Amino acid sequence: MKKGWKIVLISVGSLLGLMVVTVAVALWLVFTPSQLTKIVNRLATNYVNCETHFGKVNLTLFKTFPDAGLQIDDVYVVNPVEGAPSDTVARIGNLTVGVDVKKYLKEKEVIVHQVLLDDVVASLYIDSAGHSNFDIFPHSDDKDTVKKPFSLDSLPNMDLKKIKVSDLNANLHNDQGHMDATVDDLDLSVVGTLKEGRVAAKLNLDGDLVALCTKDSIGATTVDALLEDITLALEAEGCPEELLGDLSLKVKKGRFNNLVNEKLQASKHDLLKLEMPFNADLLNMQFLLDDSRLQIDDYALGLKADVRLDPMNIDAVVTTDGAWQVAPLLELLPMQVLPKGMDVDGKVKLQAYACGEPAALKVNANVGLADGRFHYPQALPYKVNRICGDFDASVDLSKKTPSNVKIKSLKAHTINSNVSVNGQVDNLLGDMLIDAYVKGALPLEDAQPMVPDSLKLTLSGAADVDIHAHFKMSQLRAQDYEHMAATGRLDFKGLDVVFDSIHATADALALNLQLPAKEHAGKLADTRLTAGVLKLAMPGIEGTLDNPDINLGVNNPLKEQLAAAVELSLGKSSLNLDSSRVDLVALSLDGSVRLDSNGTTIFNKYNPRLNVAVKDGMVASPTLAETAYLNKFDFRYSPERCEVVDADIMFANSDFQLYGSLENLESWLEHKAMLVGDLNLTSNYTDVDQILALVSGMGSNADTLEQMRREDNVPQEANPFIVPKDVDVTLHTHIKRSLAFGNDLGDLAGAVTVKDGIAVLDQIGFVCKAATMQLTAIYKSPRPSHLFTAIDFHLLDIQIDELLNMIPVVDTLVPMLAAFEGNANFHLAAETYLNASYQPLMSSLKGAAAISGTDLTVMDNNSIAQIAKLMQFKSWKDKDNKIKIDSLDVELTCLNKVIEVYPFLLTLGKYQICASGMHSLDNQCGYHLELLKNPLLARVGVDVKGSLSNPKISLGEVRYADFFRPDKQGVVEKQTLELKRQVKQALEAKVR
Amino acid sequence: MKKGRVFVLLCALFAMVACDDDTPLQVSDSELVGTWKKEYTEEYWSYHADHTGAKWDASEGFSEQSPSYSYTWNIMDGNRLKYTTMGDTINVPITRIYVITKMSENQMVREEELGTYTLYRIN
Repeated sequence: MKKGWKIVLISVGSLLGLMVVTVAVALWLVFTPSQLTKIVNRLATNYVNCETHFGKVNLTLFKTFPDAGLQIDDVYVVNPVEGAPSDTVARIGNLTVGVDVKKYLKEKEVIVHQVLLDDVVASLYIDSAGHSNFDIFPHSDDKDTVKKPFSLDSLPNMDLKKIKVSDLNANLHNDQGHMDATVDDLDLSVVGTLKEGRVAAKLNLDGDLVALCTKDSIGATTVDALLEDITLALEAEGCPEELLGDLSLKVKKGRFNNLVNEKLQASKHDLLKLEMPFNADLLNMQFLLDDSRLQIDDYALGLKADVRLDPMNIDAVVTTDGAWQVAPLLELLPMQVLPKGMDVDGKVKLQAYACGEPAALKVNANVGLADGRFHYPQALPYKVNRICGDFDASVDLSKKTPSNVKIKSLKAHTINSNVSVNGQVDNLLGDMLIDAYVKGALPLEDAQPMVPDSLKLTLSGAADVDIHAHFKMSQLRAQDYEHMAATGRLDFKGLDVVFDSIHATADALALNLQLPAKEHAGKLADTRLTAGVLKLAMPGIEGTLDNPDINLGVNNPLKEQLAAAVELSLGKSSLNLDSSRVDLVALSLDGSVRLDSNGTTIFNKYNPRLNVAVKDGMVASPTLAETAYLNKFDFRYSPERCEVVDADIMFANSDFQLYGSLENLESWLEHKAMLVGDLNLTSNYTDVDQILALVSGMGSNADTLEQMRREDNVPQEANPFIVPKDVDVTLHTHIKRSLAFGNDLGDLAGAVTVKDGIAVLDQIGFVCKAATMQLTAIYKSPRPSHLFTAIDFHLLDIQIDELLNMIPVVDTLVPMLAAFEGNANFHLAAETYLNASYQPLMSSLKGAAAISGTDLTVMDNNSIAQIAKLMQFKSWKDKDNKIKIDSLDVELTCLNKVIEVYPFLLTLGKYQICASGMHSLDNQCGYHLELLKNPLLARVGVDVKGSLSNPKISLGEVRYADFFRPDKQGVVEKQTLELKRQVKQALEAKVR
Repeated sequence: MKKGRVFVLLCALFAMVACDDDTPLQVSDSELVGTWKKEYTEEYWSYHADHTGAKWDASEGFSEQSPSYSYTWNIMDGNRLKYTTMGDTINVPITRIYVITKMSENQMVREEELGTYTLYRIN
């Protein structure tokens, strides 16, 4: 049986083969190439509107198996159009069409399964009117201009087993659309079926080069693209409403406008890779992309998206595939985004969600930064490394809603410092509003480059920073600190800062900052400085401040000269003011300072206005013989005025309580004006001699004074008081006890004025040795050897011997006074020059005195005895054998070293004597005494002449008439009035 | 002879009395104007044409520019020199009167408070 089947099969096969050969031979005999060519040429005219040439037409079975194929070589399509670069639209080296033989044989339908084109060269052209040279097919007669919507259902079923174009080289020139396109060596193959509206297709494309160039109406290039080595694979299956597919595209090299720079072009990586599975709704033009991947060079993005094309709308999630290295990425960007010299790198991860229309896209993204690096010498002289950050950004490209970035963390390091930032940036696409918390530790030298040069601030040390800042970028750029906000704290260690002429150092100092100021209205910022020990140095002042607590309200030093409101409290501190030292237990002050860079002294440089309270201070100075203790010293200082509110000072043996004012302090220190003061002084004890020694010579040139002393041979031990100059100070005194010129004085009260070299005592009252005194005086010191004084000195109820002890010159002037005992009133008004030992220069002494007393006792001596004998006194002594004067009232003047005693009455019991005369300071005298009243009713005159110590006493003529009584001359009163007038003048004017 | 001697003596005495000149000295202002130095001292007195003047004691360091004191002066009754002090700071109107007993171009004798002194013109 097997052998039988074998024979049957062989027979059938042979029969079939014979039939095929017969058919083939028949077809070959019937359809010769020349006949086929003719048929095709003839049929082509029915289907194309242009000239066509077909070279050779053959039938083929092998190339298109299992379909029957019609292979046409050298197909030319010629369609001349004016302006076209070539009349030939296309030249196809080989065109093969495969037809389903079974369908044709069974149903007489021509079903094309395969179309193969090889070696295609096309030159397509569209002229400015829109006429193209490839519009070669006849148009439909259908006059209906309404286009029916495209639908796959409207297409006949297709089963394209193979559409292949090999080696396609084409170019398109579109005058109307201002476009040029070129394709070189492109291979395209499409396999697919369309059946009842469902399509299943695969498309593969490989090309060496695709180029496109478009221009706008004025000829400017809008698109300039060139892609080399392109590979495209597209698979799709489904109906138009749901078409599932996969797109894969790779472009090895290329350019697109200027977006692909040289670096990118030279990269070893493919320019573009796209892997995009999709689900498309072609009717609604919507595409769902799932797990797509777009890679440009070495940078890949993962993409999931829902894209609508009409209207354009995107809903996508974009993720970086791993971390992107920033530096090489920046090099690949089409334009240089960084300034020259800026070095930036790091690793960036991005996950973003974008939705909306492209022009109004809203993006929410999380950006992660690691291993960042920043170096820009023009801004920062050091490198910032290890930058890492985590950001959430929300961006609305339409700007209808605010865009912002949340800085979840941002950290950076330099060699010596670190900083961390978190916060928020709002209005990202406009004027950014930044709210940031900044913490860090940095050496102040690192911060120095960021300090404006105009601030004249030099920093060193280390700082820990903790600041919350809130500001807009526009404010920062404009340095509009008035509208910015910041609070925070800076802790300094090893601080060394120089600001203008102030140098401060502290081992540890805390600065609290508040911007804008809340405590100090009108100021830019509040700052509070606290430290353990703060050392300060400025022109003329050096200090070590213990536990300072300084509150400052400062203005904007970049816009105007620095001004600050100040509250300050110090613990134990010491200050060096030039060569003086001030130690304090406590000090507090409040007020303001304003920096004037043109100022040269501490006052006109800082223009302080301060209320100061000093407690338990101590001042030691070379100008002070002893240390001054400030138990309390409260004063208010403003430019040119210092108001002493309350001062309690101990100096040597003296104590003072002071209040009052001093003006022109600054001008006085600059020797431009006089120091003017009006002070009230209360004291329990004042050593006037010490105080005079303290202020003697102030305002005078010490060398000049010394020269005067030498010229005038002033003894070394003589140190007269030199009245201070350049000062106009009045001291209203109330001193309980004082020591002045060796005399203990009590209850001293009155005004003392020192006015530019003139000292004026205006009705100073005091008690000395139980006598009440009042002194008005002017004292000048033009030269140490030529002092000048004019005095009005009133003593009430003083012991005559005490008077002579207190004022020895009285004994010189009125030596006979020494013979008297008892209490008298003494009034002296005189002026004289003095030598350096306060001795009157007698040639200049001129004045008047009045001495009055009652119940005085005269000490008996030879002269008195002689006079008594000549006047025949009887029983003129009392029971104690003492000579009693009932009353005495003498006036005298002194001039030219001669004392003139005006006639005065002397009552001794029952006798009344009138005496007058003169005596000189060189001990010569000429007196006349006359008995006006005696029991004997006889008038007797006695002359006393010659030496005061041993006068010649003789009877003299009677001069006075009966009943003569001497009148008071009133010379002292006249001089007192005159002195007071001159004192008033001296106080009111600049008297020299 | 004895009576003759007595007569001659009486005549001489008469002549002396008869010839005694009681006319006071007349000193003009211009004679006084100038600077005078008191004998045996360092005292200087200046009399200016405007009836001001000054006194200074050089032994105490005073000078014409820095005198002991200043004054106004005028001559009364021919030879009574009245001067009244005026002060730099206070006006101490102390008045003294000196009597000029002799006056020549370069020499002046005057009676002061407690004595008579000669002054010599300096200029």
